[in-house]
Formats: sequence, structure tokens, C-alpha cells
Amino acid sequence: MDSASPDCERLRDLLPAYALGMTDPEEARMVEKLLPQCPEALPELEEYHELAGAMLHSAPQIEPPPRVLANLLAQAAAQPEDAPAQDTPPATPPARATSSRRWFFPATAAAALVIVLLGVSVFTLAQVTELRTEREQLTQRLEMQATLLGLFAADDITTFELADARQEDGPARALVLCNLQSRVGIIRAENFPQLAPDGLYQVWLWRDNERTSAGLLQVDEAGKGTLLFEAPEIMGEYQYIGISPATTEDGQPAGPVVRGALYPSG
Amino acid sequence: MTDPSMPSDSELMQRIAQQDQTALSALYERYGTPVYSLAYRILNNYHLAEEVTQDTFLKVWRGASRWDASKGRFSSWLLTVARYTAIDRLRQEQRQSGPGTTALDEVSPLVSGSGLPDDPRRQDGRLLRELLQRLPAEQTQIIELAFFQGWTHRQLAEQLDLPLGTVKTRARLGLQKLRKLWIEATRTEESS
Repeated sequence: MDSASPDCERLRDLLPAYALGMTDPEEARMVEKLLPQCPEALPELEEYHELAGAMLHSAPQIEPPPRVLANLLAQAAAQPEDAPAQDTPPATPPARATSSRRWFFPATAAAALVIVLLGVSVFTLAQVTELRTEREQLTQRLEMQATLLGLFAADDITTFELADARQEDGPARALVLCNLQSRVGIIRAENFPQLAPDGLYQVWLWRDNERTSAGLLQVDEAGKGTLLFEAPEIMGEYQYIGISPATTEDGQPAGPVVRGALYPSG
Repeated sequence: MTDPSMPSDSELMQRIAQQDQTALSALYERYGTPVYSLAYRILNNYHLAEEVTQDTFLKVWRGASRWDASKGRFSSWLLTVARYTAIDRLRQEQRQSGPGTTALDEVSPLVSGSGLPDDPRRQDGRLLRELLQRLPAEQTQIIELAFFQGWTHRQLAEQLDLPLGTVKTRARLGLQKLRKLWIEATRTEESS
């Protein structure tokens, strides 16, 4: 179609609004119908799309509070990725015979029926076991979610910065978010040194010179890692927290990479 | 400049698809602020903006395996998800059209292009904000309401009690001028 045709002119009038999603449904349908006929309008549409993309970034930047990440991780722990569609289950049991003369079934038919029924029973039992396991996992996740949501819904979250324990102003650091009256919290580690493949860090909580493990932390290739942990006692019972390599090549205890006091500042 | 030691958005999404919470946390660190800022711009409420930010990243968490890198720049796709999520939430709050939902599969990015982890589009956003101020106020109002409230021509006319033709004209003239200013500004930047 000629770019100067009335239809193409009409299309060009609607393009800006279409790119920003402000056309009404009938207008949008018209744009989509006319676009293939007016290909010279495509670069212009692309430019308006670029504007729309810049609009997405045009809001004045505001830092979200730390609890958003904490809540997100808590909810993510309770909500795994959408499960793939289940395979179609095996064929349903055959319809029950409707004949009024069932006692005349040949022996082979009866044997086949028994086999089918046994198969259905085994399948059902397997499904029940699987569902029970899934329910237990979901219950655990929900409990963790409820605990964490309860924790972070409150305003009394305390944040602790753990500094590099190997050198002053060293790059490793970690952030701990917790409620001192609760046993759960989140640790976010950054700039941790790489360990051997499958190596893990151990989080230690110290109370009266006794240490207790709060869990294992894995960091990625950028030295970052996150751990949702549950301490044996409420966090207010502990004085220090440190993170050390869980294992070393020579089997000797390793010093902490980061450490810090669990005393609220101010 | 992109730090080559940093995982790309695509790499993070692959790890999120494998339920790697560290990757989700890293993605949040990269994009939490723009998502939250956009949500707040739409909702004008810190509490709701927090919820929408969480919902946006949870959608990513649950649907990461369905993200298609060929669909375009990741940051634009993510912010488009955030925009729809926030507008849905706004409508729920306003009880205008009942609860709306936007599935991840329905979202197409508003911008095409390759994904870049170090997103220079924040500068574009600042530039656009400046350019919007150069338009007549009534045109800026129409454009911002349409984009940040999700209103169409007809809804704008109803909400602002203006003739439909007036709304369409203001939108068209405003966006045409904005495009012209945008092209001038970006070409100046490129040549300098």
C-alpha cells in the first residue's frame, strides 16, 4: 500500500498511542491489521517502542527497604518454580462390567481384571506416597514461610554488617537480617573467596565462648550467597556471628572470612 | 562498562530456573531499585510498591524457565512485568475493574534488543524525564496517565472528563514531539 494512502496515514496517527499501549482494543486491532500493509511505518513504531522502554526507566530511583529482599527470599523458599505439567496418568480402570451374568466370566478375563486392579492399586499407592511426601515438603516450606513472614512483617528487624576478618577493610562482607526475639534470619554474603568445587561455608553463632552452627552457605562464582537459617536459640542469645570455610584441604579448622558482633547499634 | 566477571542476566535466569536463590538475590540486587521505583511511581504507596516488587520477582522465580532471551532486553521485559503487575494492583485497589492478573507468558517486552546486564537505559529514563518537562503540561499529563495508570484513550477521556478527540489529539501531538526531542537528544549524545 502507498505510504500516503489514507489507511497508512491513519495508522501513523495511531502508532504513538499504540506503542505506549494506550489505544482502545478496536484501535489496536486496526493498527495490527494495517501494519503489514504499511511497512514504512515499522521504523517509526520501533522508535516509539524505544520511548516506551525509556518510560519504564523514567521513574525517580528509590531504594527499596531491606525487608523487601528478605520477604522475597522467604516467599521464594516457600514457592518453588511452577512444576512442569504432570505426565498423563496411566489409563483409568476399565469400566465395570454391566452384564447381569458376571459369574460367567471366562477365567482369563477374570485374571486380566485382577491384574488390572492390582496395577491400579500399585499406581494409587505410589501416588498416595508421592502426595504424602509432597505434603510434608509443602508443610515444611509453609512453616518456614510463615515464620519468616511473621518475622519480617514486623518492624523490629535488626541488620548486622559482618566485616572481613582476614584484613582490615577487606572485600568480604555479609549482611545479617534477623529479629533478636526470633530464631530465624537471613544472611547475604558478598565478595567471599572461592572454595574448591562443592566447597561450603559454615555459619557459626557464638554464645559464651561456645559456638553453634547455623547452617551451610554456598557462594557463587562472584563470591555471593544467601542463607535462610534457623538458630537453636533466639538470636538475642548470641554475641557473635562468623562465617568460615566448612572444610579445608588439609582438614584443619579454618579461620573466619567475616565476623561481627550481634549487638544492635544505637 | 559491563563487568565480565559478573554473571549476565541470562545466566542468572538459567540459575533461577534451577531454583538457585543466590541468583534470585543477585538479580534483585541488580534490578530491585528500578522495579521498586516504577511500582512506586504507579501506585504512589510504599507498602503497595513493596508488595508489587516482591510479586514481580516471585513471578520471575516461578516462571524463569519460560523466559525467552530472544524476546528482547531483560531489563525491559522485567520492568514490563512490574508495570503490568503494578497496574493490576492499582486497579484492584481502586476497585475499578475487579482483580486483574497478568500471566508471565502474556508479557512482551516493550523494547526489542539484546539483553545487557549493565543497563544504560536508566540514563535514557533520566533523559526522557527531562524531555517530558518540555511538553505542554496537558500533553505530559495524558502521556504519564496513560503509561503509569494503564489508561486507554477512552478511559482517559472518561477520567479527565474530556472529549475523546481532545485526548487522542493531545496524546498524538505529545508523543510525536517527544519522539522528535528524543531523536535530537540521542543523536547529540552520540555525536559528542
